[in-house]
Amino acid sequence: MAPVFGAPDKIYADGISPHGLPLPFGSAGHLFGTDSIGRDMLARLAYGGRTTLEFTFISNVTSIGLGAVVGVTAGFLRGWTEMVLMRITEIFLSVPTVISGLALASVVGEGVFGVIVVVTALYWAWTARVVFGETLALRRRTFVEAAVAQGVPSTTIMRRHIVPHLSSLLLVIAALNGAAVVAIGAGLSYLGAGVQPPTPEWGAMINDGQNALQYAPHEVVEPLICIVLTVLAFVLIGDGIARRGSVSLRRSWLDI
Amino acid sequence: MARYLATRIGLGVLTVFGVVLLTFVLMFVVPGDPARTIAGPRATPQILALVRANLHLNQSVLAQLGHYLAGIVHGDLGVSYVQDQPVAQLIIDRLPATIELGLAGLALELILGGAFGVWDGIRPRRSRILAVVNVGLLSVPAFSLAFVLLLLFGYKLSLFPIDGGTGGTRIVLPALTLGLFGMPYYANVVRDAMQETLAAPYTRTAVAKGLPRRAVLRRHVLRNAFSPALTMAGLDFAILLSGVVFVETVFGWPGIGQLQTQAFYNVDRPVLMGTVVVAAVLVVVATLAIDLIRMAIDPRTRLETQ
Repeated sequence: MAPVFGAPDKIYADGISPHGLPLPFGSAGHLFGTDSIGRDMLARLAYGGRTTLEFTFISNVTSIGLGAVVGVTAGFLRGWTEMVLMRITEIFLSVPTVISGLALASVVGEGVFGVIVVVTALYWAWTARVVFGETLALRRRTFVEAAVAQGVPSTTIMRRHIVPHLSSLLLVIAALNGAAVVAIGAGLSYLGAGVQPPTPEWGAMINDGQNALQYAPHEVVEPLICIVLTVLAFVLIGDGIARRGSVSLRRSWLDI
Repeated sequence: MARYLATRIGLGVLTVFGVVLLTFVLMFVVPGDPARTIAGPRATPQILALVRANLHLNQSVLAQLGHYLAGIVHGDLGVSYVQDQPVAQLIIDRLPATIELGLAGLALELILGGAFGVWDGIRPRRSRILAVVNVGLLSVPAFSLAFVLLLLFGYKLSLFPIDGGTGGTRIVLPALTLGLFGMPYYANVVRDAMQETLAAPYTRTAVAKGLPRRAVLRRHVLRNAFSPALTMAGLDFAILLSGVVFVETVFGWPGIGQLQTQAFYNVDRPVLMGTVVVAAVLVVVATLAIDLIRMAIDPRTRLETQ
């Protein structure tokens, strides 16, 4: 999609007013204006969306995968496995994501890869907690008890009987977790701990533009709208699936 | 009750210990030499060795962890690599501003969410406005919301000073950001609880015995409807603090969020670790405090804990 809005080199194109100011929204040739060093906003927004979807997709899969494995294992095996795993989950949930995210980012480094690692490390615990609760409920269902009584190995029961029943819940989680990941990824990049310039990313663009807030607010407003619309899309998808599948998530999910 | 408290405190200490352990291990796998950061690129090997010895960097990981844990018990979080000041002091200087903003945000969340939830809850049908506002606010991350308020009330209307720092009406916009950010969750919880309490037999009894509508609402419905909101406040305190970090950065509010962002730029490991540990302690303490308040308000939750 992104190249439709401008060739890759247009991100670095030179568009600046005679007074050395960024071009405003609606300028000829640069429909969405340019940023403080004359780069086309529309092209950068489009490529920024690519960056966002890239880290969102990957870290959504990794964090939900990890969380689901932990949640199902803890909920099905119970006993000391549950105690250890859920204690660790609680520890991860008890530090604000941004605060631990900054500390973690200083270790794993910045960039798209850094965001993926940080988000995975911080978000699996949310999935783990929700999946854990659901697994506890499933465990008492008769078909699971029957399988246990037949002596089916635990791993088989988890894979064949528990996980398939979690699928609609996991879909909702995927949408809401996706919304949270878009937001936290942009947030970390805004703080300078995520995707680094010159790679276009919405949060980093807001960081770039915030000094020009007074005379060129479009530099902040445009990426802002992109972030909000993307998060909104994920939230609406999650809401839709939740209603159809009558899955209820009471706990707040998005945390930034 | 004493037993419940002891268990909760024990679990809290365990959680903080876990956080310390994890961050410590994390900070240790990082490549790079802190001694070089502190002493500068031209330091002689002798000076480097001296700095390492001072920071116990020449000892084993376990010994260093022991030092760090012993330090925490004494309120010592090490010394900043960059600012040459004790980390604990740096954090204590910034903490009041963060706590002020956090509490103001929490209060606004509860008030706005509670008001909206009650307004919607006394209607038999769910209002469309709440649903739309809910989804709308859910989709705006804290730092985006902060920019919206900053642009609208700071630049366009010039209602509040936006020069950074604390004091006067400077707290309004940051606190409002946090309040609006958390509002939808609380509105939902309060609304659901309202519907439940309104349908409860004790409400019917109260109405049947001729209590005025206002008294029924205040004495029976509201009190019960706010309990779940408090439960959520306890569970979501970490989320609130996350928001505080962003809001501090956008508005230039000098709290620990800003301190940590700076520490990130400077790769100042002791400060980064210190803020994580302090944040964990804050969350544990606040969660316990909120739970105790809830127990004072709602006797049913007292029974649960026994």
